[in-house]
Amino acid sequence: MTAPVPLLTAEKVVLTRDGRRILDGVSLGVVPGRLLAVIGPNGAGKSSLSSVLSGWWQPDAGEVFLHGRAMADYSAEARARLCSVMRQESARPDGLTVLEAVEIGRLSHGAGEGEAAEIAWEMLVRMGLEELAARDCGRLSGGEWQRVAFARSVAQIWNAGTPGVLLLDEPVSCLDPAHQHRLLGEASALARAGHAVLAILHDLNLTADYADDVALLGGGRLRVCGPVREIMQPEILSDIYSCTVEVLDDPGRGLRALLSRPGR
Amino acid sequence: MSEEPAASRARRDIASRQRRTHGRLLTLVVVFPALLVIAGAIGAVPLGPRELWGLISGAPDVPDVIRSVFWDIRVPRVVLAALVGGSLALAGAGVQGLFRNPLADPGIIGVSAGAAVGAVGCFVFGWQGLLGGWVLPLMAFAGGLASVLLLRLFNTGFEGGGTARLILAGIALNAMLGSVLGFALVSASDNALRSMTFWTLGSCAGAGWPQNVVLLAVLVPGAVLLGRNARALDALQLGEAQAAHLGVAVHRVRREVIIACALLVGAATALAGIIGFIGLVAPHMARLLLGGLHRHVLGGAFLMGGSLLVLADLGARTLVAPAELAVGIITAAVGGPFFLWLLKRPSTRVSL
Amino acid sequence: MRLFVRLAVVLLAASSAAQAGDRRIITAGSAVTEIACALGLGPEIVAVDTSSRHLDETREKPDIGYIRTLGAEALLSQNPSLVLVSGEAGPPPVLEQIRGAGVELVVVENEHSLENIDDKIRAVAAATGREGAAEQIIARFDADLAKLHELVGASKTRPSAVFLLARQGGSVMVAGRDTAAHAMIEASGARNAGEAFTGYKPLSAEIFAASAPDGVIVSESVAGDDAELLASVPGLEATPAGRNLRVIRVDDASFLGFGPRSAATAAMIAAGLRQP
Repeated sequence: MTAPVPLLTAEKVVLTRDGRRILDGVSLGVVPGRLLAVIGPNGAGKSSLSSVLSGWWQPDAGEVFLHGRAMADYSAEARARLCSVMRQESARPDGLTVLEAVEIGRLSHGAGEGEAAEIAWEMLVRMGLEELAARDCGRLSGGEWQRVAFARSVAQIWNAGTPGVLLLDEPVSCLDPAHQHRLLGEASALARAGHAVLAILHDLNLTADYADDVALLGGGRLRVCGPVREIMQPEILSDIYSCTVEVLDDPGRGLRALLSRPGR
Repeated sequence: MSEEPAASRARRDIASRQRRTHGRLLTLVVVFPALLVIAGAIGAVPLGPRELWGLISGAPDVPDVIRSVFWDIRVPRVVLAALVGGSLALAGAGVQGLFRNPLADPGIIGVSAGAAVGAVGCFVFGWQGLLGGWVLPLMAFAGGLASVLLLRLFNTGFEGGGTARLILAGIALNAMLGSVLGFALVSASDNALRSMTFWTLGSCAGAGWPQNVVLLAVLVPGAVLLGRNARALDALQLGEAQAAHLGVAVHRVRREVIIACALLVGAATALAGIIGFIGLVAPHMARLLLGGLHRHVLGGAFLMGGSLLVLADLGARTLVAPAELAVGIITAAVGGPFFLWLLKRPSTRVSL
Repeated sequence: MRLFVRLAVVLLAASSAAQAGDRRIITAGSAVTEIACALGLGPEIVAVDTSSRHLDETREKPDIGYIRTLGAEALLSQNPSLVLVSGEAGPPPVLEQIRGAGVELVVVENEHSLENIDDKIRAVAAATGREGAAEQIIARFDADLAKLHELVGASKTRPSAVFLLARQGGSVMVAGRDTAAHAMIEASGARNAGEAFTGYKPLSAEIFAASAPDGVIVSESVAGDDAELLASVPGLEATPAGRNLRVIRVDDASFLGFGPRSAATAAMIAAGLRQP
């Protein structure tokens, strides 16, 4: 059995900003059918990695490939059809309805208005947001807006014909636990459906629950990467976060809960 | 499979919102030509319905003076007011969309100030009567475009920096052009100074058919350039990075929108002087009425800006007849309070 | 055929009036209007610009606004048969529109010189067929001019003077070169204390100290007595003009307009500056 070919790969990516090395030779692959969680302490370079992987920033060395082609060779539109990005922060489009904001996700597909509206509606239903469809985006709570942004990102790779890449930068940072589970459940379902999903996360329990693979980033380097059960080990996590992380085993699922305490 | 009641209500809300938007757009589409007709019927020379019909139907017994007043003076002036107002409003919608700032004025990219410098040069050298009066609009237009090229230089082709840098470069450019303008005004002769002062208040009095043809020739490509970026402007409301991820070629869009706005404002200012507030207020009103989708905002802003300036110019040519009022005085007098009201509304959010 | 009865009547009246020598004239520019009135055309004038409303004959006429921002239709609404304007009238496209409507438009060049006022009078007279009446006015003007030349020629001194323009909001401007005021000061045999710069500039106390004007010229519409006026302008009290309380008040139109009364005004200034 051969491992599936990653849809998105980073090869020895180096990023320097103001003389500081933010990413130092990171190599990584996002594989279809799996959800890869990128975790690491603050300042580890997670969001920078996401900006480089998404093609927004050019790495100073190394290269990023999407579907086997260099990222820089894509037009913005062609890239957007294959790779959808949900940024950590995005401005609210005042005056647009939630449905219209999700429809923008279909921009790169150049489809007719009707089809875009249908797909957008479908995404809202999936996310349980249909009640908000006619609401002005400027009047949403932070959590609602985050769910809308996720719906838009999914709409972007929906029915594209080929498996897509979904990059999620802290997609659940504003959500209550129930919605965190719902959103990551959807992300995981997309991975099951054959898409390649990368999510930057802070919550170790959510990581343990939803990730198939975990990449641990620290100081701009990829410390370790592998299947979730190999990575979510107390020694590894305690070391990288510089605090005590305990793992409570649950015989049924392997991992149950992770507790962190100050100090080593 | 039946939808939740809340969901079907949302579907209904969306449908009614769309109907409302289309209804309002249609109203604007109807009101705009109606205003043109009304403005064409009113003027310092009183014309009754039968006289107007005689003019329109080409009845042979219309005195030449009346024919000339109507067809060579009044009608081209109404049309020019509509086109200038529409151009300024389109440019305003473009700039506000690009900068995600409802307070952005097309002047922010330095076009108006550049046009003013071109015009002041014309007055200082006493060229305003040359080439049948075409030197002034040519120099104003050239000044407007040159200032945008200068901005491009500042900002290494708009690509180097982000939108924030572009705004700051625009502020610096406006300050520099303002200083050139101030210096020119101080060293100008009394004669040039007086002509200049009135040019800066704006007027459609110089309208003729050739001016309209020229403006239209710039307006059409400018409007097309903006229109084809309407969807990209929608996406830009999410921020530049997110727009890029959605498939928008941000640099190209920014370049095209700025070129379009420079063309529109440059041509409008060249032909009618500096007219404030239309470019600021009309797109705002369009957004309030029609929502945030730029295909609606752009179209609505054009119709709204054209209508507003036709009305303002109607005031300019009739309020103190047989004298003339500068149209910029009217737009500022009406636009200023309206804008304050807009800012006071609790639902108007302003972020810089 | 009855479509245009009302208009036809008006226009017929206008054209027959023209034939009868009872034209409808619009004048713009104070000199042109003054000349036209002096030529006895007052009753035929139907509207004037803002600068021309200082005469008894024009005070009640409709105002076509500022001479540089005329409106074509507004002007034609007065149904003129002849439009007589001074050279600064504009904007140029509007003048073209008036011509285009078939109305006779005569532009009278307006230079800042007493020497070409004769030409202005002749131009207005030629446009209105009043050549006979013109000679009288020219003779009167030439006599004023001769008096002025005599006065200036007899004087051995060349005093200096400054024209102050009080603007709204309390700011005071001084006339520099390239202004009508400068030309009038020079014509009255004096030196303009503001000659170092062009146009109207905000006054600077240093200029007064350096140029020491012998007299101050202001519009007669300026309020307050001479002492108050001199005290209100910084730096002025210390000058010869301030010490001698020498303030000359002029009528705006004759001082700045270069019309038929301007030579007399220049002579009045010349005399005023040379009083012992």
